[in-house]
Amino acid sequence: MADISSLFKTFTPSLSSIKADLLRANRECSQRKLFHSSKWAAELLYSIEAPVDYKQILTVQERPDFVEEYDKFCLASSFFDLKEYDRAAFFVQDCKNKKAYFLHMYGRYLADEKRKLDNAPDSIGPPDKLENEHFKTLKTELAKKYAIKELDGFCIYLYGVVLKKLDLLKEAIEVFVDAVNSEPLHWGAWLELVTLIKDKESLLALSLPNHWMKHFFLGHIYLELQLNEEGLKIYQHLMDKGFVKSSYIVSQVAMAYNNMREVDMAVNAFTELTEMDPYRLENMDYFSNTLYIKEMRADLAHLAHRCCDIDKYREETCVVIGNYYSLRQQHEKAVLYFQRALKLNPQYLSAWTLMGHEFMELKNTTAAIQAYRQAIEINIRDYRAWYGLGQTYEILKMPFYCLYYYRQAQKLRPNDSRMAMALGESYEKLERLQEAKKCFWKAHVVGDMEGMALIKLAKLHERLNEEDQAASAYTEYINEANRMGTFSAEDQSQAYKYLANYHLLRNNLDDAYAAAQKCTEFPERREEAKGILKDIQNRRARSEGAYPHPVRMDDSLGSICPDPLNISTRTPSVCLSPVNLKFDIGDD
Amino acid sequence: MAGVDSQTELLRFGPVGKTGPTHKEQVTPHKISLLVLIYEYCELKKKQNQPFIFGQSNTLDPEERISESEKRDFMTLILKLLQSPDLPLKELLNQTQNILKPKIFDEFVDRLKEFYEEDVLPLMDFFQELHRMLTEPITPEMPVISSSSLLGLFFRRMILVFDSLSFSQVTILYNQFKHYYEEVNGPAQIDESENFGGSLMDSITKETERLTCSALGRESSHLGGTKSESGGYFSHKQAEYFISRQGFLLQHNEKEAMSPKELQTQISNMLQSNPALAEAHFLSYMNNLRVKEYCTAVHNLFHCFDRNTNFTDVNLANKTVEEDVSRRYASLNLAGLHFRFGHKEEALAALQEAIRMAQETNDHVCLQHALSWLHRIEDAGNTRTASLIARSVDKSEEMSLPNITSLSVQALAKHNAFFTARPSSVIEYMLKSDILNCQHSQPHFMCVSYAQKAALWHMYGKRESSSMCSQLVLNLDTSEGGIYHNGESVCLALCNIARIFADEGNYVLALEVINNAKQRFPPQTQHAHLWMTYEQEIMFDRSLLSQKDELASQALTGLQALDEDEYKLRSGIFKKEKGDVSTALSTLTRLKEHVTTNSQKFSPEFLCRVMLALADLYIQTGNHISATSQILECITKSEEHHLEYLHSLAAVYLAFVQLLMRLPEKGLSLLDQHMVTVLSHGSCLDRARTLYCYARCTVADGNRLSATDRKSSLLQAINTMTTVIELFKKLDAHMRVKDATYYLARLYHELGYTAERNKCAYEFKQLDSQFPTHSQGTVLRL
Repeated sequence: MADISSLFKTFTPSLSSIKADLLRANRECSQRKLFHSSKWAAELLYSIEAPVDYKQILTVQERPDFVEEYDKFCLASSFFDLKEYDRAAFFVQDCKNKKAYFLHMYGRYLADEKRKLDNAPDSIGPPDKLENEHFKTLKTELAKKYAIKELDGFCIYLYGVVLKKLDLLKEAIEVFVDAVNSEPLHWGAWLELVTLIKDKESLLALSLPNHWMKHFFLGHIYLELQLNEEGLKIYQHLMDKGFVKSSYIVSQVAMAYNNMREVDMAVNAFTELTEMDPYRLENMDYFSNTLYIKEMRADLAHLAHRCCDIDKYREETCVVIGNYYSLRQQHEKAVLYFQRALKLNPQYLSAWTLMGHEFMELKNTTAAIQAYRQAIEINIRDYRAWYGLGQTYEILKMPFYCLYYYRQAQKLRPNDSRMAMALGESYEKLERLQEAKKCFWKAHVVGDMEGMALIKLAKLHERLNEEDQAASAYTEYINEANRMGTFSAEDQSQAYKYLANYHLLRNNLDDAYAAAQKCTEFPERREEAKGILKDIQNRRARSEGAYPHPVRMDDSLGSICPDPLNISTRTPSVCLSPVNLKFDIGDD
Repeated sequence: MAGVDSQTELLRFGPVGKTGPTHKEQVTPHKISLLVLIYEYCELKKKQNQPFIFGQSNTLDPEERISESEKRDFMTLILKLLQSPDLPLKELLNQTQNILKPKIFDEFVDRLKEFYEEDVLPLMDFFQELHRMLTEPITPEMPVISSSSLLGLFFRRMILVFDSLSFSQVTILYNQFKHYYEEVNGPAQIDESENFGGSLMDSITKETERLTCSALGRESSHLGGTKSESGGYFSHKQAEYFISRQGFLLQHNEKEAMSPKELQTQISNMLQSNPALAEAHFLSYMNNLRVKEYCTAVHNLFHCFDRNTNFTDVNLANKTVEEDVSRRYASLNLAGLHFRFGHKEEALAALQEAIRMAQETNDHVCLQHALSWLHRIEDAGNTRTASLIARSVDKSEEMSLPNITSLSVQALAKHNAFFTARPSSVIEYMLKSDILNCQHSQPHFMCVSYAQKAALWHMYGKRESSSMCSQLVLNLDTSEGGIYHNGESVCLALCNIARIFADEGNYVLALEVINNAKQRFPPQTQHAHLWMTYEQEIMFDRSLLSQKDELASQALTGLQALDEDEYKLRSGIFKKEKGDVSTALSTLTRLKEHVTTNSQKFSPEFLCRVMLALADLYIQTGNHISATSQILECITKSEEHHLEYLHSLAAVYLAFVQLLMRLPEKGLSLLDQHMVTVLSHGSCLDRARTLYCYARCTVADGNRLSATDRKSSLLQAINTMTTVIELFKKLDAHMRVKDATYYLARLYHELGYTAERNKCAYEFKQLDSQFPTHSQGTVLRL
């Protein structure tokens, strides 16, 4: 990645200046009641080991207009802390200084939000038009001030948030870019930007400030865009620069491994995270997912217990417990916990999908379909839900019907072999072998995860009597299996048998011999293999006269190196247009 | 399993955090308005129903008297309002103002104002009042509003829902109402709206002028793409009404339904308030089908069937059965979708899936549906398909699925007609479908049946019968709930009639009919391509005859997009007329090959027409032998398929060839045999050509007769030729008129009638200066 390395050249500020920056950011944010950003800054500054002159930073001259209205600000701030937002907003409404103005607007915003949430349970009738009315009023006021450039970085951020709430996403992006430019230390603004950027092109098109915060932002967004390797590189670099103790970075690294399905690495990173920050609940749901995949029951139980002790009314806790029950095959209870997570946060997407999986386990296909659909409704790009729907219909023996879902999933994850495999298997069931071939080949090319693509491909070629392709696919399969150390007696013996016959037919007696010899290692094919060996002997005997040079005989088992089999390492790609292979390994 | 119920219960809450169970019905500001309307109406009516008391003047003031027609108007209005989505108050006022008595209207407006001004109290009192009204009739015999009537039910539903609201919900409702009211009357401008009815418009304009925050906010809502104004709210009940209505209209009379765009916005509105409404997705699917939007249609179909599960069903065993059913039909519908977009293999795969599932559960009804799809998807024209259709007819009759039976009967009739069955048996078989349609009153299938009969008659060459059947389609009483059927068959019938007019040279009338079709089937609707095709064809034929090459080629281009095969045939003919013989030949021979290899896709009639076009081409180039072979082939083919008219026409061609080969007596005898058919069923052009050919044959044959006989035959030919010229003139076929005039002049010359000859020659001269001849190839033609 050219742009990452060039990017780090600009990474100049010293750790102590960064720490001073963070201190300032923390104070500014907490004064404005932007709790998450201030928490983030504090967390980060805690991790930096660098000398800082606290005294000098902590004694800051406030602006005179702020000092003048400090009493009002204090009152508002106290109401704010007590979550009485309307009152807070009321008492600073006439203030002139920027901080008080922010508090006023933010108070109004939060008051509306809170009312909306409180009213949600007893909402009646149509989706309320009035709900957005408040935002529109806020927007009008902020827009006026924004136009005459009277807003500071934080207020611009608030303006962006309101725009986003009103679904004016394009404008929101512009405003957030403006916000980070004028207040680069405010992490919240960066985070909002992350949620709005949907692809790399639009990311590169942004004009961002050349601030050290940009690296954190880039790392975060790369992870979000599933560009995990780029993200990891950035985080690695940051850790080298001295952020090694930051729980934020460790959690991001863990998430990156989780996304890349590097389960072991992810578990390590998560474990490290829990050691650093034992009472942390964020990201623990992903940790439980990885533990689930690794089937580490004891660890998962431990994690569930710990989370439950910390705070049982957090969606992460519910998901962890749900995962735990799922691993214990107590699916009904798992469903119950996922539902609880959803009650705590209805937008909690993965809970819908997980619930779908649980319903599948319970053989309640209808409920599963509903749950998956719900997940898709929240986020149409949720490939797991599409895949789950496909699986559901496949189980219902509707291979044609499920194609649609697998296709959607595959479209969303073009480089995921599981989707391609599922698609291929469905095509195979429908006897559409050409399409199936393409899918298996694609699955192999993008890095087959289950190691089934090649053998399936080979069998298909065999069925279609495409001998050369079949042979090379089998060869490739054997090489792959040897390399990975996977073992499947059935498939391997079949591969060897086919190869033996294939080479025999073409009079490549050495290769045929090698393959047949291998084949004898498998008890169920031994007899056939012996027959082939005999045949080879006969042919050799017959052609002895024709070939003067002696034939190498080697009877010891396992002594055959795979090299002679390695005729062509690739299946001739007649069935696949190279266009499909483009995104193979990414940009590096 | 106890867990299941709670699971389904938990699944209910929507994605946006609204955890309450979804109500079927909800109180909204619009509904409050409706309640007030009905209430005020009842109040007024109550006064009229006062029992007559002697001595007391019971004459009501005319303001308060409600006439029968006013009652009727009010009731239809209320019914319409109950079934349509929620409207903004402005819209409601517009709709009601003209219909309501001023008194009711004023009361109505006053009460709304009262609600608006005096907070929640009057609103809550009002509901209590409603309750009282329902329970306490003024006289036991004559309650103001019967609690089991439509309005009574509406009242009761509303009261029930309102009662179940908590106080905070009532305040929310009140806020909604306030907002709803303010959309018409500016916020808190109470004094202004003193004289409400009059200042209505003023207050609206004033409001737009005043740039308050909320006005700005509302304006910005357009920026955000959220249409708060146009889209009303649908309660579950309203949505169901809406879907069933629009669904019916889409099938029955597309023009009456909403336009695709409008419908789509309504659907998305509906989905916003009822996200779990599977039927809405289906309606959207139908809407997309009609504009041929594949991607969205697919998405909608899948979405619909994913959502299509009924949680209210408590009985578990019953439920799984229902789910299975829904899945089968999902596959079946998918097959239909793919078929409509012409993906045959995909359709077949989906259908097989449906069949397999239906077989597993012994669902015969579903199997019948699948079977009828199967013979539709399978290649038409082989015996396998025929046996499939026959089986479908028998089975569906057994299971009393009249629509499938009727369709299958029609399909089988068509199949038989293409496969050389006797016309009488085919038409008789169609009768079976007619009986079924009549018994089960299926107007849609009736139309299809008649349209098919028209097509059959056309194929067999019985022009009048075909015309009659088409007219029958248009005259059938197909109304269902006041909506006439307006489907493909109607469009076909119109087109057929237009063509018959065009064949007679009545182009004005033909275009008039096409215009009617245009109005009935606007260009973006499903069947519009039919009239478009016919329009282009008629235009082409007309301009070809009148030698307007540019118009003809324009029509050809138009046709190419609509019907590839017709385009090929006509472009061959066009090139032939232009004298581009070699291209014409290659085009036509290629087309013929294509048709013979894919014979099951084409009607035999089309092949015959191609062969005749080829024969015409050969005749023009003087290649009589090849022409004869084409004609003979055509004759065999048409005889085999009982295409009487084409048979006769081919015979006329043959006679012409014989004339050219100097065998006029053979030609004459052939013409004698076949002329009657052509003259009685043929188009104007065909009749004229046949007569022309006959005249020429008579003249040529006259050479071997004695002088007197010869003269009489010449005179007879002259008579015929005048008819021919008339017919050609009717068609604007100037070249042919010229040709015929010249021939007539020669005949007069032969007889020595100089004056008549000179007249004809003069006419010819005039015509020639007007329409000079360009191509030489047209001399030798029928």
